[in-house]
Amino acid sequence: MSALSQLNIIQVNGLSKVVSTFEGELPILSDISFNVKHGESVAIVGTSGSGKSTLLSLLAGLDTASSGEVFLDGEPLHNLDEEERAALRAAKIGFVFQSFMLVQSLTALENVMLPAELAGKSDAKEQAIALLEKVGLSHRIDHYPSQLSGGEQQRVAIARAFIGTPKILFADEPSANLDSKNGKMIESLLFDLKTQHGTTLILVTHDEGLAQKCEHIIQIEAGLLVKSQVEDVANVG
Amino acid sequence: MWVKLALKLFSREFRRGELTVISAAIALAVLTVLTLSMVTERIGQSIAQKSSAFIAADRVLASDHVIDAAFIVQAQSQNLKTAQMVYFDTMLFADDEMQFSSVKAASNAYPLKGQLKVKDTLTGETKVANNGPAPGNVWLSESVFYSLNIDIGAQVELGAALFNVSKVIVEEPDAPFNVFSSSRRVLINIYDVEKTEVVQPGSRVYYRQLYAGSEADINSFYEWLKPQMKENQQWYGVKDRQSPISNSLNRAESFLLLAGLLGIILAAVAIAVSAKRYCERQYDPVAMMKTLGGSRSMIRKIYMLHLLLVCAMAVSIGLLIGYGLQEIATSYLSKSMGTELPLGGFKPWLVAISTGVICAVMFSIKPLFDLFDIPPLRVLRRNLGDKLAVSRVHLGMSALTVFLLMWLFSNNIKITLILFITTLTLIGVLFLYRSLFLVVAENWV
Repeated sequence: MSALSQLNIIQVNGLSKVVSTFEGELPILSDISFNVKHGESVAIVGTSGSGKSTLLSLLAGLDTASSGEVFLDGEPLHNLDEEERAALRAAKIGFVFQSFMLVQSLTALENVMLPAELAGKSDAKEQAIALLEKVGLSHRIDHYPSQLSGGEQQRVAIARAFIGTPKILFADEPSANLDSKNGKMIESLLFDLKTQHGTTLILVTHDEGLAQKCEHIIQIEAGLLVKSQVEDVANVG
Repeated sequence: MWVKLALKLFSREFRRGELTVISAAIALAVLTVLTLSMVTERIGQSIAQKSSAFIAADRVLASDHVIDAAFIVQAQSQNLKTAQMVYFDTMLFADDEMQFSSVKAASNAYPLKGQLKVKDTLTGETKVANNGPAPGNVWLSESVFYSLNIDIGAQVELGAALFNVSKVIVEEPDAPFNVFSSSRRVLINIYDVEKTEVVQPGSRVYYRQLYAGSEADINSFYEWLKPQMKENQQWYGVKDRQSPISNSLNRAESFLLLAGLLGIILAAVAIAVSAKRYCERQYDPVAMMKTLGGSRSMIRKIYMLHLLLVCAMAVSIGLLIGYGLQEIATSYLSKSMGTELPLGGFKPWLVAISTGVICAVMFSIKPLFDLFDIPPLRVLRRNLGDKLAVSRVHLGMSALTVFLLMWLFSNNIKITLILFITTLTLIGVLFLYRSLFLVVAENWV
């Protein structure tokens, strides 16, 4: 592995995704290539249906590409099976979703501890409590998601995303379901924690303002990378 | 570590409802099977233990027509002990009170096997009577005393004859014939039947000749008797598969289990529906756990442990309640039959546990397998996995399980097919009505 690739936490080479429909093959993403360095923040923007969520799912190993390569912290994601990708996510990736995706039968504290428990770590409680304090929810640790407001649920989700001190955080429209006040709070929390933990942030958003807060922007339209302020493979080469 | 997480999720989900419904349904299936099969098993064992005492003889020749008295003479000449009995139902009168009763008229030698237990007064001590009542006397079961409001020494009318009430019947060796019918029994001497004038042409009367002796003598007598037997005559011992007791018991067991099957099918439907709903509600948590790094094998272990816990808990509760219910039922039957029923064997327990496990596994395994297949991508594509919700395999497995349970309980493929097709037809008709209703409602609106 070259010194350059060690700097790049994400390397994407010629990534494509094609799905089968009744009318035939439908390309969702075509020949996407770019690199992201450690600790950077990147916004993926584009219109609805442009393929930005698909790109996020491929980068996070939630789905498999039709062709192309994705290296995550040096690991060839495209060559890993489902279990290996899950193990990689457990070790290196955090997630924040538009719909929070908290487990309804677990309390705020238990939700934050969940990734650590799934990874077999037994010392997660103190770290989870500290993270909930950081997101201003130390008084809500025993509350269930149904007892929390949307903003509070997303703060729990952010605390959960940072529990394993992930190298990369993927966020899909993290403030889209919130009012503007809560949205701003969530955005600021996300960037603060990213900076504190030195995490690379990959953010899918419609929000121009939020995208501008990121160091780099990737614009996807109709499955094609139309504008990239990130170092792409061609430039690297 | 996964065990701790699994137990935490289980305890929370249990409080939310669906797991409670599944557990209650499994418990219902288990307790139904245990209660019914244990009651019939204990009656069966009681019959097996008492063997010949239960028919008051070694062999019985039964008919609904008068049996030739020459058979008795021949049997006695072949060293067999004999007795005769006549059964009929009639009204018994005491002053203004009357009671419909089952009358047994027995000859002096009755019973040839087993013990006839009586009391001299309603509150007196039980003792063994070597013979039945002498002519002119009638012995009554305790319930008849209360319903006619009489005591020992009273006079009762039976047809055209008057009888002196002289003893209380506590236990008859052949009483279990009447387990599922009247417990109001009347015993008179066979010589008194004629003077009652109750037995007329067309009356429903049953005749028995009882034989007891060595197996060799009985077989030798049967060789002589067999060519002379008429179509309406039946020869049996208690151990014969064709004996009325054995037949009645088998029929009673099948009937009770089939009746219980209705409860089990309802329980099965509840399990199938609740398991599907429970698994569907777990789609998001499973997708999220997979996204956060939970491996497929860990997810499988977590939810299989849930199934195991539900199964173990529900089966235990079902066995506990079922055991209690069969104790109540058998204690009532013991009083009614006038005999202690022995403890049941392991078979009812095994059948009940198997039923619970089969219901739990067969009705929930397909939704669970669907759950394990939920892709992590569902966290982004929220409808991913929803197509798994309607599963023909689940319906097929549920139908197959119901069929197997019907077969297991009825032990008769013809009855199973009839029941199964009837059930399917009923479901089809209900769906048709539902569709028609929706069409009409739509047009109406």
